[in-house]
Amino acid sequence: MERSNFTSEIPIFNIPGGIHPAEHKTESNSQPIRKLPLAKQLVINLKGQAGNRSVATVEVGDYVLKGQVIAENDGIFSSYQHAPSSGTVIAIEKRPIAHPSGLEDLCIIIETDGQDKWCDLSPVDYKNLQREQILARIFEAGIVGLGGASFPSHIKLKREQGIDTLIINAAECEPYITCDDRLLQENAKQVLAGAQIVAHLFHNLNIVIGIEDNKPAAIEALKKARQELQLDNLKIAVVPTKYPSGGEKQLIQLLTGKQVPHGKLPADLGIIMHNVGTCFAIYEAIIHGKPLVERIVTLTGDACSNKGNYRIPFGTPIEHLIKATESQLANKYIMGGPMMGYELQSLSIGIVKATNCIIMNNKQLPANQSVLPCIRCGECMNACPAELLPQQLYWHSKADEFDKAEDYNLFDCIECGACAYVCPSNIPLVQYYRYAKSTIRNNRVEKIKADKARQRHEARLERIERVKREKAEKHQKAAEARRKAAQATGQDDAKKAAVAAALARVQAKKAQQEKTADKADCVDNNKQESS
Amino acid sequence: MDLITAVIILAALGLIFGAILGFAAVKFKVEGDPIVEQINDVLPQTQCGQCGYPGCKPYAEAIANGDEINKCPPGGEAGVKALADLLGREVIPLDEERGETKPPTVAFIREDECIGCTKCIQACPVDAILGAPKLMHTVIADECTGCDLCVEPCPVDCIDMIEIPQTISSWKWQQPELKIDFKEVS
Repeated sequence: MERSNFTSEIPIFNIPGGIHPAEHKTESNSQPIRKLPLAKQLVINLKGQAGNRSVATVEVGDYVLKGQVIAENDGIFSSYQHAPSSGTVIAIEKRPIAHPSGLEDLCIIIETDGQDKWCDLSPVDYKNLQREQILARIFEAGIVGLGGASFPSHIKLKREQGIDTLIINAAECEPYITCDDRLLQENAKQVLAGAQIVAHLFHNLNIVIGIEDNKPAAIEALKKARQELQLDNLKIAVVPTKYPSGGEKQLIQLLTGKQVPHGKLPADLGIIMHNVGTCFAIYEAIIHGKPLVERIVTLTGDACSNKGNYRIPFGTPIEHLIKATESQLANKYIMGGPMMGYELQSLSIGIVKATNCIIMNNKQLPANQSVLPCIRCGECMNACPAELLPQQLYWHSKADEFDKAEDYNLFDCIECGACAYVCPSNIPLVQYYRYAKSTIRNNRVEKIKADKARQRHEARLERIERVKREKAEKHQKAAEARRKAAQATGQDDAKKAAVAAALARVQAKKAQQEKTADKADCVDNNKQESS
Repeated sequence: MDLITAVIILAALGLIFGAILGFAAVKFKVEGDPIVEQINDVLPQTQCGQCGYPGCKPYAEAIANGDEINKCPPGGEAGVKALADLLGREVIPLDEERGETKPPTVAFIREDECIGCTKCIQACPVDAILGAPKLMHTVIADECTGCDLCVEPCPVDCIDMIEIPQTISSWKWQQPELKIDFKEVS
């Protein structure tokens, strides 16, 4: 592929490991971004972001306009969702969602009316707004990270203290995907304007845009846009093409030479990172008042007849994309890239905010070749960008020795798949790590549940014991009160006195008997002990 | 003379160290048997009594006193393995007489059939059933351990044990199947 000869404006550091897979980018990045005819039905997954499920605010039968809120934040950690087009809500039910499990989850299904009519939009001049007001706008526009993790952006932007660098991630290192490349070629100015809005939220922010050298056209567009916007504090950092240089931690290391420590966030190093798509979404939300209702998706793969990038409303089903691009049915549909994406198990699922690419493939991908035993060659270790020991992680994950896998920092693995790519034995290494990670997470949840059950059981035993004790005490007290009452009133009433006297006699007798019995017991015990 | 000095010094050292050890024994006294707590931590805390003891803790105490480690069906093979690792014992197959490992379940009361007898409430080891005499009862699903103990006492058989369906958050990746192609190997 063509390489840019633009020299980076800041020094570039190196990252360990990495691979150079076939790029497959030219298939889709030569065409301008297009639109497809609107799907009849949109399936909007309420769990379409990192965090919790959003809460639906519409009911079946409601008519909604494009951009109208249909689901809101759950109050803890979630995001808003908006109608991607105008139409009627025909169902809120469980449908297969974009998830490697292929399981169903709650979705809002909108039947579009074809008018694509926007609701009232309220653009603002952000320079007159308070920081909190801008953050609220970004929050209410449902903006999440569009690089793939779909982490709610307003949470990332909340921390102001100590942040001095904004890195715009335009590396797009995974093969096949070109949505960010195309977006920069066509809308670099808007992307940079979005970055300006983000920079406005902080004091004296350095803006660095990190981009791989295989996107010369995008770099040119960026240069031009920077000149037009007179953004002098923005630096363009061109990094050599290598997978996975677009990973958050990897790009930070490339541009600053610093490693994000285990268990820390980039913000702890004073850095926040946003994807170019997210910057564009922020621009649209603030300047035009448009919430996030669509994104650019790369449609590619050998079975796709019209490869390219498309602006697609969220919830558009995959089967509609196949029809609209006049593609044949393929063997395999992969959401995301070939390295980190996952195979879709249903064609009725709607695209979500994280969907950057759909690969329609007939050819077998390398992962499906037959697996051979590990020969301990160590290639995986050389390829790992996180400097882990993939082989050790593999042995321990395979043997269910999760604590040992954790000792080898399993959770620092970014699941980039570089190790599996170079493995001469075709071992699906990442699958083992995902298995180990998800099992450890599940075990943690179960441990919390078990601890709660134990506490409840112990509390119950204690309560039963306490109730028993209290009952006994109450009986004793009542008996005492009766005796006292009898003594107090006994002098007035001869009858009562007689009864009380009789009772006292009986009690005395009983006590006498018990005493003698006790004594006898004591004697017995003593005898036993002495013998 | 040397001999006496040596004896005196050694005796003095003995006394000093004895005093330190004695003090440490009082100051850092370990309450209870820590191994019982560790075993109890490994057990699944369903409190189902399938092991023959009235709860997980009594079974943990029994294991510490030498009972077999394979009597806990909810813990399954993984539980036996964890106990074997902890105690340095052999991994043995689960005792089949105690029942088999079932997928996680939760109790469900068919509420219109409930007569409000409170028998299930008394049976529940984790207080996960809510209700009052002659009033309908219901299960707090989040707190239910799926132990089955409420099913048997119910005089009208209105309690079902329902398998917990898999959700997106409880789903986990499976370990890849080993597909070694031996033709290719040889």
